[in-house]
Amino acid sequence: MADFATIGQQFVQFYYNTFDVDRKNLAGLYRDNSMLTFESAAVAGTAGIIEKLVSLPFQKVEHRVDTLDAQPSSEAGGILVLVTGALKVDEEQKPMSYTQVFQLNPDGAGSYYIFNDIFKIIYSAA
Amino acid sequence: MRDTNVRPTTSGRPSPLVQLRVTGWTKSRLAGSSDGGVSALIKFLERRATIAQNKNAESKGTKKEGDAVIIFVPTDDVKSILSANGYEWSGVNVHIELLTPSGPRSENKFSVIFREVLTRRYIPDQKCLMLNQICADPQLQALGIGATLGRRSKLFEAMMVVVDQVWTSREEKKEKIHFLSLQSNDLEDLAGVTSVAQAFPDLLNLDLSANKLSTLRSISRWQNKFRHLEQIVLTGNPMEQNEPELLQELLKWYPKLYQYNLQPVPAPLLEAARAKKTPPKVQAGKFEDAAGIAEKFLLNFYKGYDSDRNALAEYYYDSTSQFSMDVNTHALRDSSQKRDPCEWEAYIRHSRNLNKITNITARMRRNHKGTAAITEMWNQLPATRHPDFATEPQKWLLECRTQPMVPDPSGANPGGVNGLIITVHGEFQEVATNKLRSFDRTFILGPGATPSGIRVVNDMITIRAYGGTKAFEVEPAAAIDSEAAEKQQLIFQLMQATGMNSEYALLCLTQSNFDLQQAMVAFEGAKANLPAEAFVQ
Repeated sequence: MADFATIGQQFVQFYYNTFDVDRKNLAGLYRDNSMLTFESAAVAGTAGIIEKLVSLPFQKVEHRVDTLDAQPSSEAGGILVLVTGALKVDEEQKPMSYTQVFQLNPDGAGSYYIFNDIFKIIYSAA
Repeated sequence: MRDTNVRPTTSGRPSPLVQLRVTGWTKSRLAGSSDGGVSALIKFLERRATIAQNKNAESKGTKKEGDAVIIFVPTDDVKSILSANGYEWSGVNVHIELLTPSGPRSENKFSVIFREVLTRRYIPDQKCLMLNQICADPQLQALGIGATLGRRSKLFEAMMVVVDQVWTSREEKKEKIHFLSLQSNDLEDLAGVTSVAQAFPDLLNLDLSANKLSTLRSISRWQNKFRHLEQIVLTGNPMEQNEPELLQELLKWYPKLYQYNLQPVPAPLLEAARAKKTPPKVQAGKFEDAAGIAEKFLLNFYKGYDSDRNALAEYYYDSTSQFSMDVNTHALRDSSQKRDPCEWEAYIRHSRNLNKITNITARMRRNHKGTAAITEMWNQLPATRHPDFATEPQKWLLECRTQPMVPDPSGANPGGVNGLIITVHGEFQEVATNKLRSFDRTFILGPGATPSGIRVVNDMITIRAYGGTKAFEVEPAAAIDSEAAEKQQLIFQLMQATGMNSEYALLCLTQSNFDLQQAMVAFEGAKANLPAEAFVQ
């Protein structure tokens, strides 16, 4: 089995690739007890989370991951992932800095799902 | 029972109210309604009295006392209402009796005078009761009271009894008396006027000027009274000179105070006091920290990190705690800093950015495990100054959530216990260079055998160029939060904390009045008996 750092790295790569291509395909990464905190809004459950992500006011989005770190975080094999980076939306040339924290939990079938997802814009040029 | 308490209304004076005690109604057909039928009962009595006296009868207030309800009615209506004594209402016979709570004493000479004094010193337009220079009141002087200190304390006590007869309910006093003056009463402390706080708990404006109050201790009896107090006047008391921090202290005592000695409280003092009320101030995001654990941790953490990192690590970290740091050299910079070089030397060689550090040994080495390794790492990082939570809350963005399945070092819960996940966005200044930097830090906290009883399980920080605080400002639209959304939040918090599905989480919360703590307790008590279908599959 891959170590937690590699899992974290693979997860982050997959997450943002999927997000930037078609974010509704992220549904497979959440469960009904997942929670997303996007800026100040909190939504829970796969359906609510995907609805929130799809409703974000942009069509095109491009994430750039600047830093990525991961630590094992729970008895059950959870992994805590901290990402910082920048994202550009639509035709906007100025990127925004963001951070995102993922708490990944094993799903019992050899894979992981997102238990907590906390996203924050930390610098906006606008 | 004498009916001398029932006096005709005289013009220009508040109509005296009489208390009637009504019993025998608790088993009526309306007993099942939300108020046990009280409001319907009173309507019945009013209607009946209105018909009996061919003139509108209306009660002025009610209070429940066990099986009895006390109603306050104008003297004029007493007879008509009393005539319903023994009548049947909604399947039961109600009993009504005249109540004279303070007995014949309420009609003695003093009570009459006090009532007149209070009425004369009450200014309805201003909602103001002037009990200043009370000993100089000619009417009271004529009674020969107020001359000595001992008697004066009795005077206020007796007067407050009459206050409660003139303004019979707390609601009425709250509505009609906003301002109370106790000016120039030679008060050295509050011993003689202590009953005033009980009589006027909802006071907005208090004048204690020109007394002999020498220190804060002389008024400390009222520290936890008057929770709505907005204005206070203390001029002309020795305490003004004796207590340099007088206003700061008063702001702590009275959370709504905004005017002091007839002047607005200076904004910086007000802000500092308000910020201290809820440190650390939380913007935007969600902060679920019912027990105040995260708040206390954050206050201690940043104080400790700036002053004594070794002691901090001993207090909150143990042999399994993990710490790692990353440097984001690409993060956007605040325009005020754009000219300065970043100078990452002190940090970059410790950065564990998994995008850059691919060697597995290097990755392992840069994840610091245990108090000793963490302390050693921290001591290599530049000394810092973080902004004060209380005075500069705008420089922080904090979030906190329940984090289940956190390892329990006692071993009592193999599946783990509930902990907290805290995310912090903020800034610090390097002591040596004065350089400002921004950071993003995530902690997972759980119980631990540390001196604090709290253990940091995970601690991860990203350090980046100073990016300012603009992004932390609350968007006004974010303030909208309906009750339904709040409930939804609670349901999911409970789901996350317990693993129950939404249906059972809702059931549990409904039975616990949507109190999360209570619901958690209920869950713990019932979890052994819950079916498998209660949990997220």
